[in-house]
Order: sequence, then C-alpha cells, then structure tokens
Amino acid sequence: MKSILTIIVQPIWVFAFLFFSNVACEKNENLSSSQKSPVLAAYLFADQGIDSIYIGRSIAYDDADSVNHYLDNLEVLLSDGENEYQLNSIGEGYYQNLDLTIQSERDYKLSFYYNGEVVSAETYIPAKKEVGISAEEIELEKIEAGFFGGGGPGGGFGGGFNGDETDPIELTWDNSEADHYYVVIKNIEEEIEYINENIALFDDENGGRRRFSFITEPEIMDVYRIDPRIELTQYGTYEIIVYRVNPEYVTLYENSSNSTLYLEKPATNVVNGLGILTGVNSDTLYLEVVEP
Amino acid sequence: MKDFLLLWGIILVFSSSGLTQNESDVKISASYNKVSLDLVMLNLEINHQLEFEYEESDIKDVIITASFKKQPLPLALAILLNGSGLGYEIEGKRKVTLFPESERKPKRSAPLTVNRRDFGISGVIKDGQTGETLPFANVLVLGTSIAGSSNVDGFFSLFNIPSDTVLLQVSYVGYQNLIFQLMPDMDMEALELDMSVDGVNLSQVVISATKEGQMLNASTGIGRISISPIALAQIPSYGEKDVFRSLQLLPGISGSNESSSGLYVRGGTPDQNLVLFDGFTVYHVDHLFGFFSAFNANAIKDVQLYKGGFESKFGGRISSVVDMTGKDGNTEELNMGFGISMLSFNGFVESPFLNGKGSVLIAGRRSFQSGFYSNIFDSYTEANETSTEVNQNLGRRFAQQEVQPTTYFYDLNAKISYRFSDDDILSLSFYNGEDNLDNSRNVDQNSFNRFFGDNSALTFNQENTDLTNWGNYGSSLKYSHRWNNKMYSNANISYSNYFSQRDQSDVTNIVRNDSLFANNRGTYENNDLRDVSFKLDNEYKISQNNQLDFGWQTVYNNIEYIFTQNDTNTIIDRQDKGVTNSLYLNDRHVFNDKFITKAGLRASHYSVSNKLYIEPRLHMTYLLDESIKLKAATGQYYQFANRIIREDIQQGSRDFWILADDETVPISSAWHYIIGASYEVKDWLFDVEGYVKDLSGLSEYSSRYAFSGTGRDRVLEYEESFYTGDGMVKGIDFLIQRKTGKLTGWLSYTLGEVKYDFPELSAEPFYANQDVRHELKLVGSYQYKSFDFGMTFIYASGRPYSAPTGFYEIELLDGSTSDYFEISDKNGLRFDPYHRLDLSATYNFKLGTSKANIGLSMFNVYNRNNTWYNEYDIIEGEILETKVSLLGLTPSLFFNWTLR
Repeated sequence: MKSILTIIVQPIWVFAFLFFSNVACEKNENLSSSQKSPVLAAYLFADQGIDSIYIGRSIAYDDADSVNHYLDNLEVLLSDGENEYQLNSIGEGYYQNLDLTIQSERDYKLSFYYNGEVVSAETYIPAKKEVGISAEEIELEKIEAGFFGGGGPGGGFGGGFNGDETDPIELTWDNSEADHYYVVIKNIEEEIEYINENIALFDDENGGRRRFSFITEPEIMDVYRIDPRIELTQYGTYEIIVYRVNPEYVTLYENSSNSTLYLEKPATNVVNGLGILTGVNSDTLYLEVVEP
Repeated sequence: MKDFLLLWGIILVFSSSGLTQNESDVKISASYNKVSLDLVMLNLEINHQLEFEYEESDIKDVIITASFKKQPLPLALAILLNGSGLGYEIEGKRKVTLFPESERKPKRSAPLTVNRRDFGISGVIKDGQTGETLPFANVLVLGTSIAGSSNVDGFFSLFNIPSDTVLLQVSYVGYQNLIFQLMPDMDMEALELDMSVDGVNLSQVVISATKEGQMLNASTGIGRISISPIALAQIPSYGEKDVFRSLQLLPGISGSNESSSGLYVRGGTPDQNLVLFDGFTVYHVDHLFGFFSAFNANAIKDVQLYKGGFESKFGGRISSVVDMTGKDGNTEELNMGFGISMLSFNGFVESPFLNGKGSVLIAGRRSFQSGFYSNIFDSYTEANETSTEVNQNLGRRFAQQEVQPTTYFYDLNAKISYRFSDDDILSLSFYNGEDNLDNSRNVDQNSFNRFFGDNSALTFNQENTDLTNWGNYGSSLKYSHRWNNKMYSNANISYSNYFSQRDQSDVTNIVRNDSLFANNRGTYENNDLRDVSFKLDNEYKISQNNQLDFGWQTVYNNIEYIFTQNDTNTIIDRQDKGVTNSLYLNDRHVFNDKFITKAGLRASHYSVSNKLYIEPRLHMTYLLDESIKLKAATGQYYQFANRIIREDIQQGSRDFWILADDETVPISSAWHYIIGASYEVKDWLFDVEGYVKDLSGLSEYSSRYAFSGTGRDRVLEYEESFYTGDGMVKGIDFLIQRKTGKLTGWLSYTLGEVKYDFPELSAEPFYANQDVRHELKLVGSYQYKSFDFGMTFIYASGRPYSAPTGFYEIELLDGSTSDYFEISDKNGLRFDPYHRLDLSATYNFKLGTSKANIGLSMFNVYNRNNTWYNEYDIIEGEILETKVSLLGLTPSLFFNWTLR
C-alpha cells in the first residue's frame, strides 16, 4: 500500500513544487500608486485667442493632497507648424495667450516637459459651418398662473404649449462629412420673463428662477429642431451656438463606465499624459421670443 | 480480487446446489436490507411457500442485504447466502436445507454445464423500471479483463467471452451495480441487462452493497466524469436540481461564478466548452442571469463531461465538452410527475406506445414571480436601476415612475423514440428555452396632469421600451442502426438556434390638436445564430482489444448581429456564415490487458479561412494493478465560433457569437497536456490530474467610439477592436471520493493558474479574469431513513480585477466637469476569497403507490458577502469603492411528486 501511494504521490509533489515555485513569483500590485500623470484640458476655439487651458495632474487613490493638483509654471508651447507660441501660466493650472488667434483648418501641437518627459498632443481645427435658421423671431402667448387652458387658447404645458400651433424653429447646416455637432441654446436677457407663469411658480419653489439654457449631446447631425413648446420657456433674446467638434472630444464625452466588469482606460490624445487637446469651431445665431 | 473471489464463491455455491427443472420453476422476488436470516426465511416461507430446515446455531447473526426479482430459487439462495458461510440443498420443489459450507454435502445434481466457449455477446443496458437505455455504462466479465461500455443508445458488445456461464458486472453512475449471470440458453446477441437506482424490482440479480448509487464517476477516463442526474437531488440546489450548477462542484471547474451557469473548465471560458444535448450544440446555457442553467434535470438521462484531452469525435471547442443525452421516455408504463419550488414549477409526462416499441417524453418548466425569484432578480439588476429618462427641461416636473419589471423563463423538452427492431432506433428531440425581461414603462398624460391639471387639447405619451429576451431552439433527428455486433452507426441531423434581443428605446409622442411631435431614441440589438449540422458516427469493433470510431460532421453556421441606435443609425451589422466539414478517426487499442491507447485524428476544413486544420489526439492508460491507473493525454483543438461579451453584461444577456475570419478574429487553438493517476478501491477513489493548456489565437473584444486618421482626415467610427493574444493554463485537480455507504461525496482541490498575453492590452502577461489560484470543494450526502441531507462547501481564492489607481477631472465644453479614472495594470488586483456553505434536507415518502419528496435548501448558510464586482465613484475628491455582492442567505422550499 505504501509503495502504491508513493508512486502516485511523489510525482504530484514534484509537479506541485514546480507549480508553486512558479506561482510564488506573482506580482502583487498595491492599490495605492505614486503615479501622478499630467492631465491636459485644452479647447482651441477657432478665431479666438487662448483664454485658458488647464494643466494638472491625476490624483492617486491614496493622495493626501486632493486640492493642489494643478501644474503651474511649465513651459508650454503651441505650434501651428510654422509658428511657435508660448502659453503663460496664470495660476491654478491655467495657461493663456490672447495674442494669438487660432486659425480654422490648421493643425496645432501643444507640448511641455513634465518629469523629464515630453508631454504632447495634436489637434485639428475644423472648418466653420454656416448655420441657417428658419425664423429669427417667434411669438408665444403668455400663460397666466393657475390657467391650464382646457382647450382654450393659451392653455397647455411649459412655455410653448400655447393655444396656437407653433412650428419648430429649424437650424440647418451641411454635414456631408458626418461630423459631430452639439447645440447650445441660452436666454441672454438680464431680466427673466417666463412665458408660463406656472413654471415660474414651480421654479420659485424649487431653487429659484434661472435663465433658460439647454445643451445637446454631440451627435452626427445636420439639422436641429427647436420645439418652442418645450425648449423656449422665457421671453427675450436667445443665443444659439452650433459647435462642430472633433472625434477625440466625442470619445472623451462617451467615456463613463465605472465598474470593474468593464473598467477601461479613458480615451486620450495626449502622449505621455491624460486628457485632451481639441479644436472647436462654431457658428452663433440669435432668436427673439416675443409676446404677440 | 477479493470481490471476484466472493462472486466466484457464488458460482460455486450455485453450481454445487444443482439446478433441476423442478427447482427452477420456483421464482423468487424479494428485497432485504440488513434483515436477519431467520426473518428472511420466515418471509420466504410465507410468500413463496418454502420450507426451511437448519440448525439455529448455524444461522445466528447472519444478516442479509440483497434484492432480486423473479429469480430461480437456486440463484436466489446463492445470492442470499453469499458470504454467510452457509450452503444449501433443495429437495423437491420447495424444501431447503441450510448447513455450514464446511459440512458440504455431496452434490446431488450436475453442475451448470458450459456449452460454449470463446464467443461474442451483445445487448442493451436499461433502467429496469423505466426501460430507458443507459449510455456509457461499463460492462465487465468478472474474473477477466474483458470489458467494454455501452454506446449512446445503451448497446454493448463484448468478444472472447470464456464461457456461457460467466458473470457480467454492469456499473452505471447513480445505479446499483448489477451482477448478471449468463445462462447457456440465453440469446447471446440480444441480452437485456436491467439496472436499478435502488436495487429493487429487477429482473436480474443485484449483489447489493457492492456499490451504492453515486453522484459521479470520475474513473471512466482521462479528464472525464459521468454525472447522474438522478442522484443530483442529493446535492443542495437553489430549489431545483441543476446539472450545470452541479458540474461546477467538480474539481477543475470553477464553482465561484454565481452569475454564470456556464462552465469555466480548467481555466477555459464557457464559450470554449462544447455543450451537446441529444447531438445538437447549445450555444447559451443561462436562465435568469446565469443563476440557473437552461436544462431541466428531469429531461436528462446522462451527462458526460470531458474536462480536457477529449477524443477526436468532438471538435470545434478548445476547452471541454458536456455531452448530454435526453431521456427517451418510459417504455414500460405511463409515468408523470410535477415539482414546485419557490422559483418555478415543472412537470413531465412519459409514456410508451406500440407495446413499448416507442416512447414519448415531454418535460417543461416555467418560473413565476415570487419573493425568491425577486430576491435573485433584484440582486442581479439593482446595480442597474434606471429612472425614467425624460427631457432635461421637463424631467424634474414628472413624478418618477416605479415600475415592477415582468420577467420569466421557461423551457420545454420533448422527445419521441421508436425502435423499429432491436437494431434500429429513430428519435426526434426538441428543446426550447427562453428568458424574457420586460422593464418597459409608459409616462402618459396622467403623469403631468397631476401637476398641470387636465388639458384635453394635448395628448402626451412617452413609451419607454426595455425588453430583453434570449433563448435557444434545438432539435435533432437521430437514426441509429446496429449492423451487427461489431458495427454500429448513428446519423444525426440537428438544428440549433440561439437568439438574443434587446430593445431599449424611448418614443415620445406629443399631439396637440392634429399636430404630432415624435422622437425616437434608444438602442436595439439582435443576435441570431443558426447552426445546422449533420453527423455520422460509427463504431467498429475489430476485436475485443481494438475498436475504431470514425465519422463525418458538417456544421453550417449563420450568425447575424445587428446593433442600431435611434432607429436609423446602424452601428454594427455583422453577417457571418461558415461551413466546417470534419472527418475523424479514433482507434482504441488494448495491449496485454494493461495498456490502453486511444489514438485519433480530426481533420476540419473551415470555409471562411479555406484552410484545413489537423488535430491529433492521444490517450494512454496503464493499469498498474486492479486499483491503480496511470494516465496521460494530449491533443490539439481548434475553435471557429467565439462568444463575445459586450461591456454592459449585467443587464441580462449582453453577449453575442461571431465566427472567426482568421484575419481580425483569429481561429483559437489549444494544445492540452494531461498526466494523472487514480487509485480506486471499493469505497474510495483518489484521483489526481495535472494539466497544461497552451492557448493561442484568443481574442478580446472592445467596441467604442474611436477616431482614426490624423488631421483633417480624422474620422469617428463605432469601432470594433479585437485584441489578439495567447494564454497558458496550468493546474492540478485532486479528488477524493467516498463512493459507498450512507455518507457519500467528495473533496476536491484545484491549484490553477491562467495567464494571458495580449500585447495591446498590457505590456506584461496578466492573469485572466477567470484565474483562480486555489479552489476547494466539499460535497456530502447523507441518508438517514427517509431523509437525504446534502452539503456543499466552496472556497476559492479571489479573482483578479482592474481598479482605478487614481482619477482626474476635465472640464468639458458644456461647462460641466467630468471625472476620469486612471486604471491599474490589467487585472493587477484580487477580490477577497469566495466561500459559501449550502445545506439541504429532503424527506422522501410515498403517497399511495406514488413517490414524493419535500425539502428545504439553504443557499449561502452563513450569509457570506462574496464580491461580484466593484463600482467606483469620485465624490468630493475621493474615490469611493462600492462592492456589489452576490447572493446572501437564500432559503428555498421544494416539493416533487412522481407517479412511479
């Protein structure tokens, strides 16, 4: 019996020893990390100077210093292939150069040294697209507080659910390149005047009155319809900006998962760093909402 | 050897007692479990009008355990007195004299005469009660090395039988061992060996207590384990017997993946596991987020698991094979049953027709909404609770709607079989199982009328659709023909369909007077896999020591996967079609009764790559003596269809199948190397197998918006990326099994390691998601009177995962700030170890002549908080880690009834 067991057991121990000696070399990474990567957040708007781009560093899991994570006084250079511009540190991680003007349809490269490495990113400033608007003024009837319509004129829901039928305001542009756009609609009046007083009362009870502002997500589109019944809740002048953005921005925008089932490294176009450098172009329009 | 001597003793006793025509007229049926011999004789005197003569002192303390049906008196006596030291003599028809064997009296009649020597036998092995044929049962001619096993239809044949009076020993997992006496007047080409689960009601002889019905048999081959679906009831379950969950308790198969019924066999993934049911391939085995498997244990007759190194008959997967045979249905009498648990109800009906030549079986299950069901459902979905998604401006004005999702699963098995003759069987098997989850909700006029009052001029309706359903259809038509006792053929045409759909969309309709404003947003996914196969499997027994298996298989796959967004934007539209034609050959040869080799070759042509793939396979077993077996196996394996896990998997079935194209998606391949040894005695089995698997052509999938090109040529695409890599699996499986007695079960331990090398994902090789270093499992079953008690304990070291090592903030163009994580090395961290204890108790009783049981099962008895995955949030400059746990303590009640 003893010899039988020896025959079986001996090779097993040899095998197990070899196995364990291999397994014992496992690397065991600690959750804490002293790694602090540079982070760039830089949007280059066509036809504008550089008002503020941000350079900071990532915050480690066990980082005691959770506030002071910006990087000042770096030598930051922006190049368009012909000229090189220095960006000036203005504190708290922000850099500026209002003397230069970002040109459409050009490539730009930003670079700086950090921890002995060149951190760099490149982007392209997309061309401006002219946006057309179907109407520059729209009349919407006021809805008094406590009045819900019930079939009569002026009844309804929200600023736009007036008695009359109201066609949407259409914004159109050419997007034969299938690029991504997003739209910002904001009321720029100093005095807020609600179309529907019911909503004014509701806002009074829920955090106060605010100027209307609406932002869409970046999407491939060539038309945006503003539904007056939903998206225009206040009288006055609205500023409508249609932004054309680059793919690197969309990938950053789409990134949001946070469980270990599918944790992936976030998208970045920064070499030796994190974050984004991207070009943006836009067209601005105005719309008046008036009481008939 | 000891067993053999005992049995030879029976023959001697039997022979010495003689057999006359008169004596054989009396047929005895009886069953005794530890009954004293005097009571046995009393019972026989009453029931069979026998008359016994003996000395009191001779029979004192003789205890009998035996069971048989309609046996000739001499044989019955031989069995009864086996090992008692007593002999017998029969006078006339019914008078029996017992005496100590030491005082053997002179023979009064001629011994059993041998008429034939060195001949062949063949026949079928069946369940004596239901008439179900038993596949892969082992048959041994006692006292010799002549052995074989039954094929998928229960047929067996043996050659070079030394005489027509030998004893055959038949063993089959979950059944009592059968000792069958060959008689000279039997039809040696049409033997029928009837086995029994509990040893009673048999038409043949059972020597009881040689082996109790056990749950698994791990000693049939290399990396191969047979499972008894009948005995699974003794293992604690989640209220239902579950074949796949039980397989996860075996060594080498991960038992810590609660969220998947799929099998992680020796470091492989579930899609690398070939799952066959009555010959058709099943592509998805999960019910209810993987908590239950898609197979109804009531419809399964036999399960063979090949953990690696499998023969050339199987192909198309690189890890393992689960080959299930469905029940044919009772060929003896009508039977039916039903069961109810806190999760589902199930029922089956089986019946013979045309005098038992045909049989039919229908079995089904359906879940119902219960607290138990909701408990499981919630634990799998609470991480994904969504609120009603509404327009940013209006959202705060709507009351949030709480919607109770409707969800259910069902499955249905049906099989009809017909035996045209002893040599021809036709059977049609059908399977359908499906999961449905409806989390849809409507926000209608009433929602905002509560706030704004009635406005009949305006109609508002927002429909949120959130439908998920997945399931399988499978069917096979099988024709089996026995040409002679050497050649057997099996033709199988099968169809398998796996479908998975997910529709998540919001349709907003605002109608004011006759003007309609409609908006449709959301995603729609549809994966539809079709598999049409033809197989021809042949066995040719050249001699007792040489068997040739050969065949041909054709598999046609047609896989569609569509992923659309907002009604019109098609993001992924894959259409994969491919045909795999395979030929295989396998030769089993026994040298000197000790050395068994199985050498095989499989050649496959895959139409997509238009290449030929050759897979050599080799098995070797050396029998050191009767109880010690040394074994080794190697082989190459290719896989052409892969399952892709999409990122948001916790929302139900988030995976889809694709075909490899040998360009972006490589054809996976593996080499298996296995060595092992087993030591088996009457009550115990010790088994150890070490294995190495060398994997190549693995793919990991990623799909996200990504841009390509530079400068003005940059394009944003929904990009599917397949990262390609290799892997190495190493491990040792240990098994100690107690096979007999009131307490049976096993202790298994696996030491394993799975390393992947994907250069694009990580500069260094990393541990795969399924890498578990140590896994210990203890499974026990104890019978006490009418009670069965079951216990399972699992300990597994933690799985690896990736986690944030830090974070950073970026201000987006809309002025908001978004947080991003810096990620650790791929799978650089490990969860806490997984462990849990399950207990169950079942009370078996009779309701009239029918059988029933009622029981309680406790899952995760000490309420261990096992981590499923972690979630991370960045709140006020700190990373908050939330552990999402698997199921806690979950008790469940069940009741089952069967007519017979």
